[in-house]
Amino acid sequence: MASLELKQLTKKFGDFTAVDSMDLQVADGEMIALLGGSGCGKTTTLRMIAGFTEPFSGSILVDGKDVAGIPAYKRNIGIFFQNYALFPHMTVFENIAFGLKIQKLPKAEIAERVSEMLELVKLYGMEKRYPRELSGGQQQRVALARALVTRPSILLLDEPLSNLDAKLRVEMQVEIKRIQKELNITTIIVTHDHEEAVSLADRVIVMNAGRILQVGTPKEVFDDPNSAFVADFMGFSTFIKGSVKLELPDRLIVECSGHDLSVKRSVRDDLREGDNCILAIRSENIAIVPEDNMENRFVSGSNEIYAQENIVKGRVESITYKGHSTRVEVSGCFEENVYPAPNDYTGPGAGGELRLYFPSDKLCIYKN
Amino acid sequence: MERKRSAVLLALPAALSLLIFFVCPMVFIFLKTIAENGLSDFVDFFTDPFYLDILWTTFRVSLVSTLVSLILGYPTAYYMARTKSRLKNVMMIIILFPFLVSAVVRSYGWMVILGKNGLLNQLLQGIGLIKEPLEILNTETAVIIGMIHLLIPYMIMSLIGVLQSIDPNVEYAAQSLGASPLETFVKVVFPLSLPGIISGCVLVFTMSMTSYVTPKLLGGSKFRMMATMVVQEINVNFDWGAASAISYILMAAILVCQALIVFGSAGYMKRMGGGKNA
Repeated sequence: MASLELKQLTKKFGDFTAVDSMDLQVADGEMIALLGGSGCGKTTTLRMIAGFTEPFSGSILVDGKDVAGIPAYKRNIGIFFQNYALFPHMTVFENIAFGLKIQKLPKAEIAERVSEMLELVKLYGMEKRYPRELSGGQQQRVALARALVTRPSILLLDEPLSNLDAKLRVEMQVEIKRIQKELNITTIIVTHDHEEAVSLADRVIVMNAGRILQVGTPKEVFDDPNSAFVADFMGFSTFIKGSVKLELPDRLIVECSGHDLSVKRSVRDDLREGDNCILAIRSENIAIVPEDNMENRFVSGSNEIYAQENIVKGRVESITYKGHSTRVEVSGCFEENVYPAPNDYTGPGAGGELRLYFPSDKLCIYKN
Repeated sequence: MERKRSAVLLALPAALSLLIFFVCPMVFIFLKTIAENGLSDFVDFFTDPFYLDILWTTFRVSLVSTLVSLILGYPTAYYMARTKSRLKNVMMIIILFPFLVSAVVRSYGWMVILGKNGLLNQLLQGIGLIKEPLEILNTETAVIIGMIHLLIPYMIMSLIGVLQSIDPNVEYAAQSLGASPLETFVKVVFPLSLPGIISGCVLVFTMSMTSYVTPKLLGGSKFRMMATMVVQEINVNFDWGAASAISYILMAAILVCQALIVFGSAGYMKRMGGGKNA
């Protein structure tokens, strides 16, 4: 249990700067996620915290103390690897007991703490198995138990859910959260998957090219990315170019390919009349307006909508059924194609016309 | 079934040539020896201290060469398995370079270095470490040095393979759990590399037991190992029976050593899942 602080942390590999003057504070017991694509510096940051690689400059403070020069094996930081990295020549028991044996604890205490851990990760009765005899989900639990048994001050999780199938992901997501809260351990998750990040973390840090782009709660980052790049990374599918036509007290009127869209003003209010901008919206937030409803009062998902504006006509290009939703590609609304994804699509087939509604509070606006 | 049969056909040329050129002569020599002298050649070997001493020397030289190759080769192999250097291929070629030069040439090279007025003695005398030249050439030490030089690439190659298959994250995991680099090596890397250590040792030990050129050229006229003794029995003593007996005893000795290693490690290898680890 400890707080963590990164101060101007920088790592260079030759001319390449992997992590660039990174500042971050993590409170005791907090669970944060470093989110970014490959090569964004998230894993390098993790390795520096763990002590596997030394920073080029800047410092890492654990409970206010600089850990520079302390080798990895003296840092007491638990780490969970994406590929689990279990010891293949040891049983489940031996894997989990490894850290305790290194500490030369008495046998009875080791046995007790290992069985505590087995209970925590729900692997009781598996202690004599070898890693190769376990399923992926079970191996993952062993890896988690092994990282936690030494009661580390900080837990680092590298892509904890990425190797699991959809069903196990949800299960482990709940498990990891439960265990983290139960032990109240400061945890840093590294991931490229925004769903993994928002579902697990208290706070999400979006990174790119070694820099932090946005820090916020999962909801903030998910619903209101602070740049078009972050929006793209957070799974926004539709991006529309336009320019600000009119500034109103609570909203902006944006002209996009001849259509006027009303957009709620965001906290980053840096746009003035005449500025070029990009609008971004999630697929599931674009509603399809039923043709037979001229009043524009309809139900979309669980919301009752009464739309007076932001309705644009388009043509269906393609329809892709994706199980829980249907991805519809629509052209003709703007220069760019848009991609509504209703749960239950009953509109026209490819080539047909339909009307789309872009709710003004779901449109994110960025300077272009 | 069809597949199985064609696989047998594919194995046939190699199997037949082994049978005709290897197994047949061996059986023939064995039968001829037994037919001419009965078991007396074998009895002679085990009752004559001269021969037993040669067997022991062969075993001792092989054992020392194997162990030193392992100790010297392991760090190199570990470095090669972990390095991301662009020069890795160049390093690999350097390691394999000795294969391009025959054992005879390499042994002559060592004669130049280790001789009474050789490079080593000149160097040591030059910097004043010794007054009288060291007697290295024509001793067991010279043979072991030459042998290690000859065989260490095999050891390194065996080790690189298995060390590369060890996930570096496993070492990081051990460190994050508090294991010092030494503890990580002893408890994780070494046990996981045992399959490579065993195959490397069996390979080097066997090649060293049967080596002829190195002991012949670096050991001098009085130094004898099993293979040199076989040739001596044929070329000098014209005693084909003794030569064949020594050959068979050498082969048996090697098989016994290999069996001991394989059975000794069987439990461990089984534990490792026959090397099949994710």
